[in-house]
Amino acid sequence: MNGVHDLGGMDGFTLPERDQGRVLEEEWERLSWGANVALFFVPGMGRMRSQIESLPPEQYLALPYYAKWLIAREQMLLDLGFVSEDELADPDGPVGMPPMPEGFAPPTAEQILATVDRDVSERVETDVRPRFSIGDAVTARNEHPRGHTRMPRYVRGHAGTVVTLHGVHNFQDELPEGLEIGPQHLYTVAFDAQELWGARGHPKDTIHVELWEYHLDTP
Amino acid sequence: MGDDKVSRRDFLSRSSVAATGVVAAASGDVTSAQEAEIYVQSDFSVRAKALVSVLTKKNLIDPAAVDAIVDHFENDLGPHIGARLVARSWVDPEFRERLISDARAVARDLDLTGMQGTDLVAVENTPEVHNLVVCTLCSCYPWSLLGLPPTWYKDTAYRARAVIDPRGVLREFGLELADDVEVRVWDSTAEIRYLVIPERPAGTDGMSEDELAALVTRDSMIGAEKLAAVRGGNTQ
Repeated sequence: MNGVHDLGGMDGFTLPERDQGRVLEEEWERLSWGANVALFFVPGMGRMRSQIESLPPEQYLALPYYAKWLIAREQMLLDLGFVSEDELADPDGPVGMPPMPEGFAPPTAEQILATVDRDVSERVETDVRPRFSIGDAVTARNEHPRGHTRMPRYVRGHAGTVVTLHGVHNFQDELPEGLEIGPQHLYTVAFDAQELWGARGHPKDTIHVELWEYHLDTP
Repeated sequence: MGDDKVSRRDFLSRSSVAATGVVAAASGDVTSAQEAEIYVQSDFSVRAKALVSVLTKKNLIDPAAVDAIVDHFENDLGPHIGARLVARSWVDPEFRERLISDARAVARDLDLTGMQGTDLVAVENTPEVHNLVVCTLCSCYPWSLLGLPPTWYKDTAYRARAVIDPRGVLREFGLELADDVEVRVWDSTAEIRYLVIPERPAGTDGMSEDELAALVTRDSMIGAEKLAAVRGGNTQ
């Protein structure tokens, strides 16, 4: 999706000071973050990023960071029918019970924290051979998918070099209906700054992006 | 339905108004900036409390778990974990080699893996090469080593500019790099998470691993700053 979240290379933004305080400053930020993480353990509540990316662009740019998570979570719960607008507007009123699988219990703190601290890799052990090797010249495909993608706009159509092979990783892009692509080899591809930004790039600098095999072509 | 109830539509238009307020705030109108800030905070405060309350009544989340999650992210996880790896890499050359060649295995051996920090890569800053980490699409960050990201890292300006003008960003952050230094920017687009190993500051000869770890800042492990020399310390 060519959304406003895909910010790399945009001009006009003013850099903030490097804040050194608490990472969760306000009580509502703590509640929003805690609820958000707990909700990852509720069936159907996994995919957050495409939800945040589909916020109206003017809201995406202006809302505080944790407000985006809060609003995205509200919307997912509404879309799944787990909560209603009336319930959110009047939390002291009556609530209906959501359609959960038999025996569902909200996960405990211990269960959640064990998962947060677990070795949760996106790497998949298979013997599929990688198409590219370190040092190979590659081109990022000039594609503009409507769904969630991990290939930022600023690399599309540009030439780079494979610098790392990460093995096979779960593919994270949202594909068009009917298209199924399993786990893919993941690579770090280095792009020269001048290849991406012309004369604004420094001749010594490189930008490294993680891309799946699906995103890459032989030049 | 009582008249005092707020509909979902009102909620959304209120967040839109709040968002407009944030824009007004950025334009420098102090009075409206303060009003907008108060409005934003109270609006999201009401909504976050309502969400937790409704989800608890529906038996979808356990409020004790919400508190424990927040406590874990605020107090257990944090840059002190990454700082230990950096300090050890400074005193133990063999460890440094392993960290740079396979940070994933090192983190697993030390039981430091976790959500957003299992597929790790460590990159080393030297006098010749400066590494800077960003997530242009989102806010990806090695939680298990550094905790939750600071506000500046998630800011639209940092995400927009770090890839096109890393030297300008670093200059505004207080770090002027010489023209012959190579800058490598790492955009965390997949599930790889990066730890920058900053240069060991001057004046730290003879310091213990614990003393060294205390010098390592969060921002130096993202590549946003260099560590300052220790005044009065020993330098060979």
